Amino acid sequence: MPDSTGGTPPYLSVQGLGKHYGAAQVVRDVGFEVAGGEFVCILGPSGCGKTTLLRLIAGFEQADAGTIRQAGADITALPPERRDFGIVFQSYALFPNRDVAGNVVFGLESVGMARAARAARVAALLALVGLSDHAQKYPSQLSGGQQQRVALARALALQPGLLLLDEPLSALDANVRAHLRDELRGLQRRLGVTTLMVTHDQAEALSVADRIVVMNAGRIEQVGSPSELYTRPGSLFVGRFLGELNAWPLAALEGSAARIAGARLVLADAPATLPGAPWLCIRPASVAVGSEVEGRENRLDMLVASATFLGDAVRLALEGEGLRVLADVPFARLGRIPAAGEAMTVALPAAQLMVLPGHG
Amino acid sequence: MVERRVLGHALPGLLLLVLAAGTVLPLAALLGRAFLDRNGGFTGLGNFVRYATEPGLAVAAWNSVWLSAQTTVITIVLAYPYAYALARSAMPGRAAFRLAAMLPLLAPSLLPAFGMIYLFGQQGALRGWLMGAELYGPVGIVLASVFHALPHAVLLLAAGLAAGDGRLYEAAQALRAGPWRRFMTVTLPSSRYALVSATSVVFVLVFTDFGVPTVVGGSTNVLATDIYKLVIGRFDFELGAVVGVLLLVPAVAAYGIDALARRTQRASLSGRSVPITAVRMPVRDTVLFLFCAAVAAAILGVIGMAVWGSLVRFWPYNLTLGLHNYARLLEDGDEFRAVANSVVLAAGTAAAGTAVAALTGWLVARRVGAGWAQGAIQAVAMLPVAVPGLVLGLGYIFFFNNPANPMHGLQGTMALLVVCSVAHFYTVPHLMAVGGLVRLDREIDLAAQALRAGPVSVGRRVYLPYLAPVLVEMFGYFFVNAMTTVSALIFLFNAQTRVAAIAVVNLVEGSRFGQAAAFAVVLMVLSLVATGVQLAVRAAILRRQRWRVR
Repeated sequence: MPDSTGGTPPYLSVQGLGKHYGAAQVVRDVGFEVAGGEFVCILGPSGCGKTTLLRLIAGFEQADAGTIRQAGADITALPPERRDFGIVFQSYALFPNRDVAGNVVFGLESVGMARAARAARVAALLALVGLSDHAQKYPSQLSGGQQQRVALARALALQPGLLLLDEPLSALDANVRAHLRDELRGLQRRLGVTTLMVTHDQAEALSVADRIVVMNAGRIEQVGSPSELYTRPGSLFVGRFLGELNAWPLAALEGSAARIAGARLVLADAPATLPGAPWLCIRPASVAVGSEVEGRENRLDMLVASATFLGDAVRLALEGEGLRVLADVPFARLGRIPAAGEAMTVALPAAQLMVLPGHG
Repeated sequence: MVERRVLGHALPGLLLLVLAAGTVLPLAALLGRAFLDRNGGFTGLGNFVRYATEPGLAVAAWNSVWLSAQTTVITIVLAYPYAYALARSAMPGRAAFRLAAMLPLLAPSLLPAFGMIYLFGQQGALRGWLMGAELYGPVGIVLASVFHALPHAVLLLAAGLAAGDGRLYEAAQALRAGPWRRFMTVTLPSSRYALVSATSVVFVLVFTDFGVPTVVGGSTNVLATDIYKLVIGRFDFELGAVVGVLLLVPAVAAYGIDALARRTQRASLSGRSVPITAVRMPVRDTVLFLFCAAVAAAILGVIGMAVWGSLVRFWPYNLTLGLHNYARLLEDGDEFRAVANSVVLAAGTAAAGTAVAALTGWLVARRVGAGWAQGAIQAVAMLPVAVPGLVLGLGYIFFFNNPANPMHGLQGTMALLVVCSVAHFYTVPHLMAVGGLVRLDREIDLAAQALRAGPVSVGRRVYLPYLAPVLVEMFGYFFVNAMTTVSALIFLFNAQTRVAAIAVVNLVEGSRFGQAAAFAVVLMVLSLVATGVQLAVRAAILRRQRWRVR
């Protein structure tokens, strides 16, 4: 586990956490740390245990094994109401019978804050999320994005040390989602509140998180910064989950070259030993095409099988020499969409080729 | 945390104890009694053998089965097209027809029986329509029972037919299926569950009804009247318990069938169903309108005859109209007290029942409290729907009359009548509360918890306002049912606690039909007023709760 906190003790520390329902082990030996003020995403496919992990940290579920420490104190056995967190749910779970201000003030009422102080705090929170003009509206009168902001303001009302977000953007339209994602990130930076967000959307995680915890089948697969995970995934699973990936079973190493079905490809830094079930991988955007291939190693003569226009790029599916290669080429450079059957030379730059373990 | 412990175990435990004392334990006492002899010794099936061999008794069991079956067939045949017309057709006056069909719900089952007497009795206005057949006996029981059971069947079938999936009709139409084929391949199969449910409800209702056979049964014995005669007339509690067990059989079977049918139905209903919009089909709608008009006229006619009978001075000899019979209710202290008792019983049952059912509904719907408690509470709350009132009432005698019972003191009090009525009608309001609360997002509880609010605080600040209109409906349901029920109370009342519905039975036994009819009409009017108030309060709440508007 890399210590990202640089010597200062972590704000949140999870160690050896486990949870099972009957025979199903949902969370297995999970451990990671979050520094104060950090924005960490827990990323994984549905059913990987990420939501259960969040519920364990919130105290809605009790762990079978392991410890959770927050701000130096062991909170593993505390009930939710004695922990220090605010939470935004996927469904927002707004109280339908309370207007926007009534939802935001709910927690302040619970802890018995004086009326005047409450009003001032609610006004400040609504200003923070840009809903000052909607204080008297009921949830049913708000758009999805507005409901999401109410949920956020409500979660922040008690000034929690830890903000938990359970797929907070997944119920929104794509445009609203991108906009709110940036807003959420900006707000988190300004407030400096330590934030843990669960999501299954890798683009979302890559764009907002300081660090990402990738989960698979109840286990942590890899922890790292978005660029680390994208460029140096620790496994085939992480590589594929974070974006489109060319992957071929690796048959054997021959010196500094890798042999796969139909080709022998030179590697920049070949591993000393092969991991179990090794795969040779490269991102489609790293594949060189056309004039770029000049002077590069690992050149292959292929035919275009299909071309998909993606807007800013064209995704080419190429076949030849027993291989199938995906290549993302900026549309500006191609200027046109190649036709199927067109001949094309590609190169797989040695520095971009990765050898990844394929377990799981 | 104290609140956690209280809500986890103490509150559910207490509620379970109360519910068990109101249902499970009296029922167990009754079942036990059926297998004991007069001196409390175990006799195995001895009582059952005695029942089967004593001349004249077993025939009542056959009468009950046969008459209930006939009534069920006639009721469903009438109710299905009526419900179909309400739910699916575009005929005019659907709201009025729905109201007309609901009217008998507001009166004791004796009321349609009176109507029958005034119409088809020895001196009845339409005596000739029976073509010489005798009203008192099988004919009267079936006729009056159909009226008594019709609203229940129409309600269930209309609800089932209204819940169909519009996409299936569009698909069938796109596949060139004509109206008749659409009805046979889509409508009928999709209302199968409602049909099963309505059939079993009607059968059990008629099988266990006490009011109708008491008034028009003549010398035809059925189980429901036999149990009364055996217990009150002969003090033969053991044979009474045997009949109680026999009355329980179809009710329990129906409960099982219903649960089974519900399970298969759930699999066939999809969350993406599209509501059905009624299509105008002139010929069909006209036919349905004429049919509904005839049925509604019959219902109004029967009830109207009972009202007329209550206004007649001395039927059939002196037909001058007046409030004579009603005046007698006011003058006679005993009779007036019966009406007052009815109001007290209905209000007490409604208040206590709504409070307890809201609590159990909340525990079950929001999964508050320990897992064992939720399951047990749900099971006990579902029990009363399978227990006929007569059986429950007899169980109460065995359970609460026992001097060894610490609750023996309740015996003979109005409080016991309230407890019995709450228990008798518990299932539906409990399910209303569950249904009302289960619709709220599960994460609401977690959000509240994260905002440091305990279950009680969320209950007060969120659930209570959310459930308010449902609470009003629950109150109304308890009120009207407690007001009009006879069966469970017939074993429990005394001179001080006698309610109006029981007074009707007593007056019928004394052949004072005019006064009995007046009582029944008063009960119906009180129920009508209560229903009106309920609707008004509910509408006022919905108007005030602006957040419900979309």
